[in-house]
Amino acid sequence: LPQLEIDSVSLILRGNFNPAIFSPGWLLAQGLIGPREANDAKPEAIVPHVSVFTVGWLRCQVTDDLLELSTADTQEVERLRDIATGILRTLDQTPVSFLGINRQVHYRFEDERPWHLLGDLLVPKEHWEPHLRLPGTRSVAVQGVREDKYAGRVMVTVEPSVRVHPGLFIQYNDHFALQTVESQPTTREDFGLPERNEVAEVEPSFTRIPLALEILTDHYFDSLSRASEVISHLLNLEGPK
Amino acid sequence: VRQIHATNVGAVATGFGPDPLSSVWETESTSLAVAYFNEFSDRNSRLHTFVEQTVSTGSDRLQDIHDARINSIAQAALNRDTTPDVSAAVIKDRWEGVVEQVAKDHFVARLISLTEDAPPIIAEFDREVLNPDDEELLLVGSRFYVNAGYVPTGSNRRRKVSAVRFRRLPPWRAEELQAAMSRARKRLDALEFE
Repeated sequence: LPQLEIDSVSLILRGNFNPAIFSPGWLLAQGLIGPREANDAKPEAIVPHVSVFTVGWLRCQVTDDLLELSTADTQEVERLRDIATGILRTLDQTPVSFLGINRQVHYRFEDERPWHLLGDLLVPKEHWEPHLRLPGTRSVAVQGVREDKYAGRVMVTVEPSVRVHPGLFIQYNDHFALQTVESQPTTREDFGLPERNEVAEVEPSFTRIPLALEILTDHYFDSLSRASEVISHLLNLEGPK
Repeated sequence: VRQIHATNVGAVATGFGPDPLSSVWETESTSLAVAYFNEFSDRNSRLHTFVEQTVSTGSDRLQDIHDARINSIAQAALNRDTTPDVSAAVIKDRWEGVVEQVAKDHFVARLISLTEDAPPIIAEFDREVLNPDDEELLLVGSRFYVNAGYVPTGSNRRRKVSAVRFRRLPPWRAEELQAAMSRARKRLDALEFE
């Protein structure tokens, strides 16, 4: 099997944020990181409208409409969730609209043969070869319906890795619009309706924070487990015998 | 940075596209952005002072230039990929622990598995396993995470890894506790006993 090289998790919140608030010192003041972690922090950009810094295992990136917390340390995925819930509980008047629980992995293949085979399994080339010379898969994105009570969708993206070669990049994006639905789409036509789609307008509101906290508390590990299942499935795909 | 695309690279590929050369392009463009960011960071304070002095004399044009360059720095930082170049640890077991006793050189905790449906276990830990930052959090009732796994080290070899990390959360507020109690009551009421 391919070798796991990079495994990262990111939590993305859409809403209205004040990047100027976010700094290692502020996280320390809220008790969300320790003093040594704060001392070792590496600011990348803390300027109006943007705050980006790294605190050991954690990378924090904030703009006016986005908060992204990520870690490439698989031993810290639990604390990543805690930082997100801590921020939301502290800034409980912040308008939010969407939450993404994302897992990104890069796998190294021993040689190019199985790597190309997987690309061909995902996107068979016989439809392309009459029109493209040496067609190759650059990106495959497949979305699915949520199976819970939340609005949103699940998106899986597969691409050649830009970090390892020959390598595979898989992203599992568990996308929650921070509102509940009475039922999930049961047909593709239903799923394609604008109000069902990700483009559906969800007005940022602080009243959505309890829902974000509920998702992070009750569904975070389930989401990461589902990501593992999808990744494992893709890596074990086999062609026709 | 993201506007730089690899075109006409002429790479030979089948299953997974003309990736190798475009990877180089993407990596190089990111590096350029990071290099620019690093280089500019060093000069940023001097430039800022210069711009402030100039703006005070009424030059809006320089302020615009300054703002544009600040935006460039921010964009470079946003695009910066800080993923470490080490193999990822594969975590096989995860637990959440609650401290039950604290002694001078060790502590005892109840562990609940986060990876399998198993009864809680009682475990004793040396205090040496703690991060220095976590020492102050070691109190009866404190919660922490334990995980164990391995890092592939090549040639089918593995190095075992484990970590103990204390949870850091804001203290619960009265309204949050009331809401939790309310949810618990609702769930209790919904239960049907045979």
